[in-house]
Amino acid sequence: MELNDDEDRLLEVLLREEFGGEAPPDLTDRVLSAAGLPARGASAAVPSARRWLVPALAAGVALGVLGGLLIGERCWGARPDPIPRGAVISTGEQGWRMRLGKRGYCNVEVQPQSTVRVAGAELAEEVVLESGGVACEVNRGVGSFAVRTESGVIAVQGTKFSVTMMGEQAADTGGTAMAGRQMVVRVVLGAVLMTGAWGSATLYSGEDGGTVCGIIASKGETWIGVRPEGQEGDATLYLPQWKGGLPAAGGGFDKEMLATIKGLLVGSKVELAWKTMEDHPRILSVKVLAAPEKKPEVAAAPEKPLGEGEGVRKHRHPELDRPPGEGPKVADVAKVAEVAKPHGDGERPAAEVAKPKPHGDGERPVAEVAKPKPHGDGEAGPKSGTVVGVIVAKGENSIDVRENKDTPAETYRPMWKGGLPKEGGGPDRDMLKLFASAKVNDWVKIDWVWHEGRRVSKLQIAGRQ
Amino acid sequence: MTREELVTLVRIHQAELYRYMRYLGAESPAAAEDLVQETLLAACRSADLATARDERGQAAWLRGIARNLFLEHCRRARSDPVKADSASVEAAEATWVGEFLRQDDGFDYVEALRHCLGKLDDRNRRVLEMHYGEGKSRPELAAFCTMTEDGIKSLLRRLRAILAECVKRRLAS
Repeated sequence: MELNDDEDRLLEVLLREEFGGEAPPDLTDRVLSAAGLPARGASAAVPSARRWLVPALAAGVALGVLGGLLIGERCWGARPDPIPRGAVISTGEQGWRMRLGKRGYCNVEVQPQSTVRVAGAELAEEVVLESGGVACEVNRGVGSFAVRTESGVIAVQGTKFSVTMMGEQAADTGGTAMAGRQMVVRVVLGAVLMTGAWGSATLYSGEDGGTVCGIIASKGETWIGVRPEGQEGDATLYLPQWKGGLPAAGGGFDKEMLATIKGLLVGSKVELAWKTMEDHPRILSVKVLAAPEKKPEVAAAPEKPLGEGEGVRKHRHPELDRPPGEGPKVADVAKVAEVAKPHGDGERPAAEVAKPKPHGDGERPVAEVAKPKPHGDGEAGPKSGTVVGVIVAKGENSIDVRENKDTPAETYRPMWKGGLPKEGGGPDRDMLKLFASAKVNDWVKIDWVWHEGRRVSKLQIAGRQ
Repeated sequence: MTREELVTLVRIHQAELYRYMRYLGAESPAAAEDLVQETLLAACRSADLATARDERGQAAWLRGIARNLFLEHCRRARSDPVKADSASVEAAEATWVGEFLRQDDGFDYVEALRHCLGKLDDRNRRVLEMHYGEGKSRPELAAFCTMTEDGIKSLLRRLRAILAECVKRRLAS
C-alpha cells in the first residue's frame, strides 16, 4: 500500500505522540489567561497544607488498609508528576482536584466526604469511586477515562460529567451488598457509556442516568415507585421506555418491561438501572434481589384517569398517557414536571416524585388481590381465588392462613391426587412437602380451588413476618 | 463569550487542533501550542461562533481558522520557511476529514493505531520507538538494523503504510 504525503504525515504525528510522549496538552488555563479571564486555578482556592491534612490523614488510614499510596498536597497544575496508581484519596470537608494521565488529560474533582482510588493504565485512566462523588473533565481525543463503581462503569473518551454514590456501602450480604446504594451519573458535555451487570446505556450531554437499589414502594401497570432501602419518604417513579413512535404508529411502552413490572411484588428489594428520557427516568433494567420482607402485594393498583386517584395515584406521570414528543395532556403534569427537572448537584435523581400517600389505613397493600368470600355451607361462593396472608397455624395436612387481622383464618389443604386411598390416592405429596417447609408466621401467596374446602393449587412462600 | 463557554470550547477542540497543527506542519510542539491558542482566541472573539452549528460543524470552522493562521505563520517565518500554500493545506484538510475524522472525532483512529502497533513484531516496533521516542538518527538506526540509511528511510515509510492499512481495516470492521 502506498501512502500519500498527507497520510504519511498524519502517521508521523500520531507516532510521535505515541512513542515520544507528545500528547496534546491542556491549554485551558493558557487560553483563559490570554483572553483576560481568570484561570481555573485562580477561581478555586489553592488548598493549604492544613486544608489537606484531613484527606491526607484519611488517605493514610486507607494506606494501611488497602496498601495504597499516600498522596500529599496537590492542586490544579501544582505538580506535573502523575499520581501513582493505587493511590487512595479520601476527602474530608474539602474537595480534592487532580490531573491524571499523559499531560493531565483527565481532570478529576473529588467531592468532599468521598473516597476514590486511582487505577487504570496509561491512556486508559480510571478512578474507582468507593463513596461520595467525582466531577470529571476529559480532554477529548487523548485517551479514555472511566469511573468504576460497585454499580458499574462509566466510560468516556472526552466529556464532562459527574458520578455520585449515595447511601451507605453495605457489607456483603449475599448478593444484596448494593442495598440502599444509588449511583447518579450526570453528563454535562459529550457522552458517556454506563455499563454494569444489567447491561449498558449511553448518556449524552444533559442526560442523567444511574442505578438504585431499593424497595418497590408502589406500582401500577406501567410504573414502579422505588425508594432506596433504609430511606424514609419519597419514592422515585420509574417508567418503561417508550418504543415505536406515536400510539397510532404502534408505539407504546416497552412490552417486555411491562410484563416484568407485572410480575414484581410491592415490597421487593430490587436493583434498577435507569436513564432520563423525555424528561423522565425510564427503566433500563430491573432485577429482584429479594422477596418482600413484609406483607407482599401481588397485583397492580387499578389504573384510573389522572387526578382521580389517591395514594399511589399521585405517582402517575402524564407521560403514561402520551407518547414522546406530544405535549402534556393534563394540568397535573406541572406537578410532576416540576419534580422531574434536572437535579442540582447530582445529589438526587432527576425525577423525584411527590411523596406517596399512605395506602388506606397503612396496613392494607397497595394492590389487593381479588378476595373470595367465605364459602359457607350451601352458600354460593367463588370456586377459586388467590390470597396473600400469613400462616397462623399448621395441621398435619393443612395450613391456616389469615389475610389480615380483621378476617378469620381459612384452612387450606393440598389437592387430592390419584383416586381413592385404596388405589393409592392421597393429598398432593409435593404440596405436603411445601407445607412442611412453611412455618407459622410465614407470608404466603396461595392459588386455591374449591373442592370440599379450599385446596391449594399453588403455594409461594414470600417471607417471614 | 463567557468564561465557561470558552472553557468548554477549549476542552472540546484543543486536542484535535493541536494534532491538526502538527499535521499541517507546525515545526515544534511550542509552535503548535501557540497556533492553537491563537485559533481559540480568534474563535472566542468571533461573532460567528454563536451561529456555529453542532460540535462537528464547530470543529470544521475552527480548522478553517487554524489553516489561515498556519499560512500566516508560514509567511512570517521567512528565516525558516515552512513549505505550505492554500492548495496544499486544503488537500491536507481533505485527508484529515477523510482519514482521521472518518469516525467521530479521530479518537477511534488513535485507538486503532494503538491496537495495530501492538501487532507489529518486536524489531519493527523497536525501530519506531528508537526513531519517534528516542530521537535516534538514521545512521544509528541503520547500525542497529544493519541496513543502509536509505533502507531505514524505506523501512519507516513501509511501517507507516502497514499501520495505515491496519487502521483502515480495523475502522472498516
